[in-house]
Amino acid sequence: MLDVKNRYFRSRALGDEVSLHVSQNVHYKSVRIDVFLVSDLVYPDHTYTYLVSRLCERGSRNYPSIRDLNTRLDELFGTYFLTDTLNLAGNSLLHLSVDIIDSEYCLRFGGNNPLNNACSFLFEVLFEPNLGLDGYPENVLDHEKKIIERDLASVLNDKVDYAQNRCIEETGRGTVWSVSSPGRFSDIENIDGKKIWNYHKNLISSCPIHVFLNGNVTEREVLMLENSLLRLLPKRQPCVVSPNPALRPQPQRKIFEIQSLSQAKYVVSHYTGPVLDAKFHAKLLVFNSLWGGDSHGILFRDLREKRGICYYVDSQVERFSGAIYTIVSCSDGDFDIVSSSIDQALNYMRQQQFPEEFLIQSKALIRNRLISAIFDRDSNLRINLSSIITEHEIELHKLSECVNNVTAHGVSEVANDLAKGVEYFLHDK
Amino acid sequence: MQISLDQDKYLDETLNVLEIEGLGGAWALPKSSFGNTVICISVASGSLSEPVYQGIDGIAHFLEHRIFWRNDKDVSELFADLGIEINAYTGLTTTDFVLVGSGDKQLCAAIDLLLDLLLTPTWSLTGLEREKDIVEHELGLYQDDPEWIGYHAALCSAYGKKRIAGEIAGDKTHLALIDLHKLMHWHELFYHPSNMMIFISGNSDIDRLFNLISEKVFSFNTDKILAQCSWKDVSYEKFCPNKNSEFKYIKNISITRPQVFLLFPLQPSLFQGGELVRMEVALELALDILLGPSGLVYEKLYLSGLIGGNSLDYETEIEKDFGFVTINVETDFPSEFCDQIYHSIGDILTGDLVKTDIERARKKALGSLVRSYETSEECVELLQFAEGLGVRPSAYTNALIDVTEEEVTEVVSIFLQSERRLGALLFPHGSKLPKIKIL
Repeated sequence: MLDVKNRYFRSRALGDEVSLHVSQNVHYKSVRIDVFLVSDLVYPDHTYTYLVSRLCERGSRNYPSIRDLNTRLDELFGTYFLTDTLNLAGNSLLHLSVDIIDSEYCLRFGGNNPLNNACSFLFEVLFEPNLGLDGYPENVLDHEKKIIERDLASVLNDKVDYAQNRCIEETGRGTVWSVSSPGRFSDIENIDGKKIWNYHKNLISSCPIHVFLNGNVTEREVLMLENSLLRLLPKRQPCVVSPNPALRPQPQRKIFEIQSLSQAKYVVSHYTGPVLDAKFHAKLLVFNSLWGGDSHGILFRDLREKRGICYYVDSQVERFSGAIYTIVSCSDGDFDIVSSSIDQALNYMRQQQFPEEFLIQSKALIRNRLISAIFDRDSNLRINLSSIITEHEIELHKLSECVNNVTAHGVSEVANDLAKGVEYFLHDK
Repeated sequence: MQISLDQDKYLDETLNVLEIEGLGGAWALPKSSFGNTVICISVASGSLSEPVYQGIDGIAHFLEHRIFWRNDKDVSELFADLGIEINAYTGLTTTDFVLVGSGDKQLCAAIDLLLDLLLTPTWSLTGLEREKDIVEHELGLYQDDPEWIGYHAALCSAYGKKRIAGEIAGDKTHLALIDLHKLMHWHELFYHPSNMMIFISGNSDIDRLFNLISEKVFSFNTDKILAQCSWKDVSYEKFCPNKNSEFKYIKNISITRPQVFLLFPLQPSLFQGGELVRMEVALELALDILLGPSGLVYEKLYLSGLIGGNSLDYETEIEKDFGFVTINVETDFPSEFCDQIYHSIGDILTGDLVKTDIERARKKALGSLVRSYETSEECVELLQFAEGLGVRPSAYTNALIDVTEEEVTEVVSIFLQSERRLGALLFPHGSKLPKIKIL
């Protein structure tokens, strides 16, 4: 029997909108600490947060250079350190994370327990970055701006991702759901070290902060982390970040873009409406599996196996925005055939024209994925975090039961309620 | 059925090894606390065997696609009935069939089904030509992936037209040569339990899985089907770099800035006499000392704007008959980047960088190794990786703990210090070609 009781996080408030979520699990060989600062997803702030995440990797008070910082991490048995920004549930998140191997192994390899040092390191990077006399050093800032400019331009390199992101942007146009990129270079082109440090200070004093601690840790170590955080936490004036409503259907649109390509990328969005309860969520998961999410899905069977018009076909549910995206990599001249095949396949789904055994297969696969997710550190963290942000708790066991109860009629209901949004076609001349 | 145990005393891991006649072997890492189990059946049928046996590029990969066809339909959905995911990949030396799921009953049924499909397929012409269309679409998809293009161009720079540098899936001309007879012949050559290894990790009852595997292998072998090849005894060329190899320039790629793919081919003749695992470990530490973010070289590259945030990647691929190191970067200054890398390799041999940095690099690598036991997927990858080096995972840990400064310096000297620069440079549309200095 699988032991799931230690997989969930126990939460407690440490201060004004500062929460600690702990999952003590003796089976992990490493300890993960993730810090999330949640703010509204608006420009230019979202780009500023991205810049802050890059600057956090440029050093701290005690480790003022990239080399000092990384040497410190290596001394702590190759502690992983990551900073990035995320768009989650229509919010902008600054994310910092460290992953430290369990003290037992450090001792065996002739070292000491690195957890205390890793905690101090993490909070120092967040609260006491490497500063000049008046904010971030201008040379460091200029360098990171250039890197951001390059990184943002590089989104063109991955054509499937690019096409999907463009479809997401167009589907959510005018709402927070249109933001698919980590930022816009024009927002930071002229920002100076003082202004971005002021923004950083504002983030740490006003954003809700969620700290997740996950691994084989003792109560004493949890307390040590709390103290390490509270010692550096500035005076707070927390703001409120409200959940975002899902997308409302808009008139259908077709957008064509030309780039030099070997194969065209077709992406279409369908509005699903808000996914607020477990029953609807379960139906949507099963629909997606029968649609393009799995190899017995209708699109895989029809577009790939029957007609041989593509190799790559996929569909993904965006639960928070309330949309499903279908992606096909096909020939340049195949827009019409792919578009009409997808419309036809959706009609089949609406009329329940799919074998009962496929429904059973989808349910079996999804139930197993949900069980695996309970034991997967990243999935577990993401589910807990999104439950907090959206104020809708997802219980994977309950969701799994709901999946079990999904009927062919339920799947056809989902298909009937889907409204086509944007068809985005990235193709060669 | 004989099961032996191999303990890793540093990491508290116990490898269960099943040794039975007529099977390449089965390795399992039990993990009762995990939420699933991953089972990989690895068949030593890869692209490198193609020139030796049939001369059709892509036939190993094509068979991977067709193996799930039974009675004129794709039966991979039968795994979904059990709630088990199935995936397959073809590489240079193996084709791997991977099952992911949970439940002893379901996993036993899935492994039973998979072994049936692999060992006793049914053959049909239906869908054969359409499958070629699908593979052509797959090849087309990769042509939009700059990393894929750069990787193959870099291999081509070192190995010319040898199979190691080509697309695993072949090309249109070779696909056209594939017919049912050739597929059946390829299957007969390679798809035998003697030519397979099974890697398992997760929360299942390992004894039960081992029992099932033993029974299946026994019943297959009593049918007296003789093995044509056995695990790790498949013939393929030893892949040495060409004498007239040269740097490749590829223009007009749909990317935003140049991408450099440096390649350091390893001479297989130099593997002899040393343990492969120690060479791999020494190379891993050398590359971290040379290019890791704690090093002087990385700092210099970063601060001078030659590399961006996460744009520098390096990797080692080493097996008994071939090996190479790749270093990839997206940079506006490819010539300067290449100069810097080659100078730094020289510096590492003349200065005391290895001496001062080896313990830091070792600590970091040990931390990484501990983490690779955190999920079923990573555990199976680690088992395959160690097996590819000819050792059990505990031997890999031991090598990492005691590899010496001299060994690290030696691998830099024999493998990375190169007289010729090899690799590929991809250019965006409309940009002028800078010159890479060819030494």
